[in-house]
Amino acid sequence: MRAVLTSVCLLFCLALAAPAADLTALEPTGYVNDFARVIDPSTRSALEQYCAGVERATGAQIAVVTVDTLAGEPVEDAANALYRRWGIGKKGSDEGALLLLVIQDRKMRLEIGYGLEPIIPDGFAGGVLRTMRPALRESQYGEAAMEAVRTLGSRIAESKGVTIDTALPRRNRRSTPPLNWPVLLLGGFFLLWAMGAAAGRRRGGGRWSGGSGTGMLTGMIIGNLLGRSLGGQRGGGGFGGFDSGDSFGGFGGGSSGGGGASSSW
Amino acid sequence: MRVLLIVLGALLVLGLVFGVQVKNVYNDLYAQREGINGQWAQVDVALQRRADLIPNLVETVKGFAKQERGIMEAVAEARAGLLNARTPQEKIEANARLEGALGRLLLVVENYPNLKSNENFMRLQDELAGTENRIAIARRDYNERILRYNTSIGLFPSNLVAGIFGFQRNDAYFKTEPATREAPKVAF
Repeated sequence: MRAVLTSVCLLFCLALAAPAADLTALEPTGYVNDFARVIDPSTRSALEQYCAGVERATGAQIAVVTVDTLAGEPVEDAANALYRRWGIGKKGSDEGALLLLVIQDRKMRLEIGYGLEPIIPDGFAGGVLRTMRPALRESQYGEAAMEAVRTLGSRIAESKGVTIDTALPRRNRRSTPPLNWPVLLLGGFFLLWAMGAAAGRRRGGGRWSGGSGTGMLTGMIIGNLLGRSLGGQRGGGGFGGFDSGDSFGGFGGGSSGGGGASSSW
Repeated sequence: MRVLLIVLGALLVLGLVFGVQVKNVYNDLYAQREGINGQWAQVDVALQRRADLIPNLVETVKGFAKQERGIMEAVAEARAGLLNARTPQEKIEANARLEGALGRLLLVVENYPNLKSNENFMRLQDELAGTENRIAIARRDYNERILRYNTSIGLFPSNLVAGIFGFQRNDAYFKTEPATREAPKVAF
C-alpha cells in the first residue's frame, strides 16, 4: 500500500515537474517569444520591428526566446530541438537564427541555421554572446537581445549588400498636418480588427503566403499613425502586439545542424 | 467455369494488393538504408571540420605555451589518425582518441590566462565547441536513423520483405565513450 502511495506521489511530482522544462510544447508568438516575461513591451516591439525589417530586407528570420529554466537539459540540445520544431528560416534556404536565453540558469545559446553558417561563423556568434554579458548581468535582457539582434541583422544585411529598413515609429517626430483623431482612430481600429481577423485565418491554415504586400503596408502606416497619436501609451496596450503581429507570418520550416555558440553570464 | 473465373479474379486482385504492399515496403526500406549513408556523410563533414580546425588551434596555443609540446604532438597524432581512418567504425574510434587529446589540451590551457583571454583563441574555442555540437547532433540523427531502420526490418510484416530482399540489420551505431562525452572539469 505504502509503495503504491509513494509511486503515485512520485508520478504526480514528475507530472508537475515536467512542464517546466518542456520546450516541446511552446508555440511561437512572433519573432520575440518572451516566455520568461523579462522584456518590457517597448523593447519587445522594437525587437519585433527590427526582426521584421531583417526578414523583409534579407529573407533571414531571427527568433528571440526567453525561458525560465531548462531543468538540467543542455542548452545546446534544447536550442536545436526548438529550432527544428519551429522551423526558423525558410525551408531549403535555412537562413535563420535563434537566440535562446535561459534566465534562471544564466545560460544562453545562439543557434545558427545551415544557411547562415557561412555568414555567421561560430566565433562570430560567440563574440555576439560575449558582448551581451555585461547587460545580462544587470538583468537588462531586452537591451542585450536588441544589441545582439542588431549585430546579427547588420552582419546579414552587409553580406547580402542590402540595408534594413525597420520603419520604426519615431515618437519625437511632429506630425505636421492636423488630423481628425477620433475618425482616424476608429478607422484604424476597424482596419486592424479586420486585418487581425484575416491574419488569424491565414495563420490558421498553417501556411505562410509570402508577401501580403498591401496588408503589410497599410498595417505599417496605421501602426505608425497610431504610434504617433498615442505617444507614450504605445506598446502598453495591445497595439504593439497588433502591428508586430501583422508583419510576423510564422516561421518557414528551416533547419539547423548545431551551428552557433553557447555562453553563460 | 464461372467458379474458376471468380477464383482466378480474386487471386489476381489479392496478388495485386499484395504486390503493391511489397513494393511500398521495399521502397521504404531501401530509402531508409540509403538515408543512413546520407546521414553518415553529415557526421563525416562535421568530423572533417573539426580536423581542419586543429592546426590553427595548435598554432595559437604554441604562441603562448611552447613547453606543452607533448600534448600538442598527441593532438596532431590523433588528428592524423582521424584523417587516415576510412570506415565509419575506424573513424568513430579515431574520433574518441582525438576527443581525449583535445580535452587534455584544453585542460592545460587553463594555466595560461593570457591565452584564455586572447580574442583569437576565444573564437577558435567557439568554433571547436560549435563543431563538437555539430558532431553530436549529426551523430544523434545518424543513430536515430539506424534505430528506425532496424525497427522497420524487425517489425511484421516488413520483416518478411526484408528477409526476401536481404535487408540486413545495421549495427554501426555511433557510440561514444562516457568519459569523452563529459567536458573536462578543472579542480582547484
